[in-house]
Amino acid sequence: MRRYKIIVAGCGCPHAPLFLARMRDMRRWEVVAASESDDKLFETMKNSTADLPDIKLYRDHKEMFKRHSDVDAVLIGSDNFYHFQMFLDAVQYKFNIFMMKVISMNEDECREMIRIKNSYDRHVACELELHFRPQLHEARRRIVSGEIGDIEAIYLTNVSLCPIDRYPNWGDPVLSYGSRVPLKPNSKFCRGGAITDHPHPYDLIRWITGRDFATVSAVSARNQMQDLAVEDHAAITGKMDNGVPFFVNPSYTNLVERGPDLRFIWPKVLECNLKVTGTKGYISADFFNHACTTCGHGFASPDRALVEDVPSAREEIDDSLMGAFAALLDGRRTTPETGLEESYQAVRVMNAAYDSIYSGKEIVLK
Amino acid sequence: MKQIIMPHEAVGRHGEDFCQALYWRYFPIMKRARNYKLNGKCGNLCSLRFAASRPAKKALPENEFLYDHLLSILDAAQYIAESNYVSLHINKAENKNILFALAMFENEVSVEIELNEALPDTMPDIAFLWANFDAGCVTNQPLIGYLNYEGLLQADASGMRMICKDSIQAVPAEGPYEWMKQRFLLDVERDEAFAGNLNTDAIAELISRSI
Repeated sequence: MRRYKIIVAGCGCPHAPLFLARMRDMRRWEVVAASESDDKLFETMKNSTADLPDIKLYRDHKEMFKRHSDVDAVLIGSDNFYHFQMFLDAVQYKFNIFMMKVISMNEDECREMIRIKNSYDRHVACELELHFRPQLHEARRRIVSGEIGDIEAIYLTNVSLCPIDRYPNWGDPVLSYGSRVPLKPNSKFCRGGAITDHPHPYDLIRWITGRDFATVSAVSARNQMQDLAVEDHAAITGKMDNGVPFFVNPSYTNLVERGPDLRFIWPKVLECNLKVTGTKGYISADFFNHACTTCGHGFASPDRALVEDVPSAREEIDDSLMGAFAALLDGRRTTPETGLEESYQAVRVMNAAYDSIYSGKEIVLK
Repeated sequence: MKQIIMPHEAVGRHGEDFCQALYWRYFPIMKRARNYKLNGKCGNLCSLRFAASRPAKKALPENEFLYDHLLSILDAAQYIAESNYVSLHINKAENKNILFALAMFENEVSVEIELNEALPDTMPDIAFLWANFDAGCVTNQPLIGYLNYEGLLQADASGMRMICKDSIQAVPAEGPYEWMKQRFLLDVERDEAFAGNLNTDAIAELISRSI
């Protein structure tokens, strides 16, 4: 199978370095260059690619685009604030585009990107996690096949640690949300934290139910981390367009010790629990319900990290977001696993949640 | 011993001659979380998360589902948060005892509730509390999995039971709800249970405005 050349524009998103590391192990991708304009993030990128001297590093993504205009694809891994302009620049070079997490929290920018994509003769995919998690994939298969009947309620938590000490840019309201918008009237906290970081719960619910969101109500508690500029907690409920109630908790309430090194207080990285009640049965899927629990020296949090450490077979190459993106470029897939439209639909729910937190009212999505 | 009545029967009733079956207030995990709040070991309370599920065969009439079960959770949340409610939003499934609720207190502590009495009859009772503080948390939700943390599991061809047994129970409890109820009855017997209306009138009014 063909190996594709890819460049990485920005590593402000905490997942971008992970993708860089994973792509090294995937025979389908050859990372030829990466760019980052922020001094600190550039150093991080330099360190994480130190053993790969063939990767060219740039400070300016435009310069990188110009010098590597022959590559097959670009991964846009910058802070959300830069996504829109980088997307426009990438389109000029006719790259296939893979975007990280939210495409933009600005819905006008989302719609413009979708408009451009609709007449673009290259592929555009977007990182919305969880589709390839085996427990969730299997839960969806059983639900879609009707094993639990019609869905009566759906509950999903995505409670994680807070990455902001290690990625301060992720807690900057402008870099994260795109502008400084107070979370509540007279609040010192702004939009751009736990809600902005987690678009995938809404995508997962749409993927499982096949329905769109109709109403959204949300609350945000007093921050556990008072020195953050953005929210660390939210809980969201509402109805799907067929009247089914949903609940999402996308918070950063799994505590870590403050500082640049990752040390857990709560020993679990992520709680991602799906509970679906149907007319004929019930399914609960725990992303961390693995066969193996590991706690020992040498993990991110010495002696205390409960990590995803699964004694499973190696994944098939297509069973990952970048594998599915390669399959798209091969022509073995016709649509991305998750694309701009899915991200935009998630962004609409997230902005509605912010509006509900600000106004204290239920928001109706039109 | 004081008269025991259900919370919905206490609405509008005053005096100190009765105790309401506000079971969640007597849940040992709740008591532990409240102790940590009072002694400051976990820091300041920020958010509360309740997950309470039962099989459909134990589903209450809707009025009791709302004004006994939900009310009991809201009462327990207020007992630990020690503040006044400023909002409550209830999102209920049609014709089923399934709801999600969000509430805020004046002190910016939030409450999230999953209340589900529509599980298959093969499922055991499940009751979790998460109390998130700025320097710690208290919960009985296991790190991995869906069911209750510890106790006994007994199974035969007819199904599975999860049994709670602590050091002061005379009889093991068939799951966390029974455990709360036993602790409540024990406090009533010892004359240590809370007497009177407490804040039930206000919470019932809040529910009726939100549903």
